[in-house]
Amino acid sequence: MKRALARQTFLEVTTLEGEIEQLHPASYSWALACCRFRRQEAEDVLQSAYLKILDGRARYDGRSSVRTWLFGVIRKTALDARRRRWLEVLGLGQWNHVNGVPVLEVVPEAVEAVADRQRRGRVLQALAELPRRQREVLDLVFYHGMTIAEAAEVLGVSLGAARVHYERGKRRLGREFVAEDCS
Amino acid sequence: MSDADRKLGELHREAHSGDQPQPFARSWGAAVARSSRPRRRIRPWVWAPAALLVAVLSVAGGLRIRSAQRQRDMAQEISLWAGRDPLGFLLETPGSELLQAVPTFDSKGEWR
Repeated sequence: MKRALARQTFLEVTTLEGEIEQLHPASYSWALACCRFRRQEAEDVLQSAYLKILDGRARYDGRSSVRTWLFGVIRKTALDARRRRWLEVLGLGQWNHVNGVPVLEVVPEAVEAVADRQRRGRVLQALAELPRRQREVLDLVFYHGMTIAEAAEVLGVSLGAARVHYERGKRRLGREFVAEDCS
Repeated sequence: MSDADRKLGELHREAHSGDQPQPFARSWGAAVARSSRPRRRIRPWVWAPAALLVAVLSVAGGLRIRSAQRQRDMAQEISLWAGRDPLGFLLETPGSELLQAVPTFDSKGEWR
């Protein structure tokens, strides 16, 4: 039984591998958005998401597009990773360091890496400071070109809730950047 | 699409302009290597006492909350009984204690 299940998973994964490969750059960008643009964390999350697929813990049932499903898996993996990190931090009773190694970076790594490109740094900072759902829905719509309904499916929220996050995020980001450019 | 939407699209493209993922084969290969490693399983003798402890703590917490609620209800009831009209003193007139006191008579029949 276990072997049959493993074989089935293997067949599914082999079929999906090509599509997952094509989606790899987009998946990485999405993982970055889920991890507040921290590169190392995004790479770990993406690898863990692939592991979930290989293990059969995440299975594609054909109810949505592969992209929507894969993005959902990545998002859930990012949430699990964040929760695990918080538990580690709380378990050791420290906020910023575990055995002297920084766990929670105050400034996103990506922002530091592009210090010379101030504008991009500001954009990344503003996006990282948005509430998680607002940042995610805006990224899915404006960068990945999804509809709000598709974004709602990835986030696992109702269409109405996704619309609210979309509008609030747009207003907040627009206040900082669009108004500034118009003035 | 409005100008603001176009602007937000540009901002997102700008934010993602530096995205350089590892090659797919590397990420996928690392995941394959991890999947072939035996997974660490948490044995029942590790989580069972923890689950029992959580259950006991939640029951104790529930009982404590319930008793605190009961005490609060009782205190409220008592305060209702003991409640006094804040303007009641206006009705207290000189000599009103005579009306509230029960008169007694001594053996000679005199009123005290």
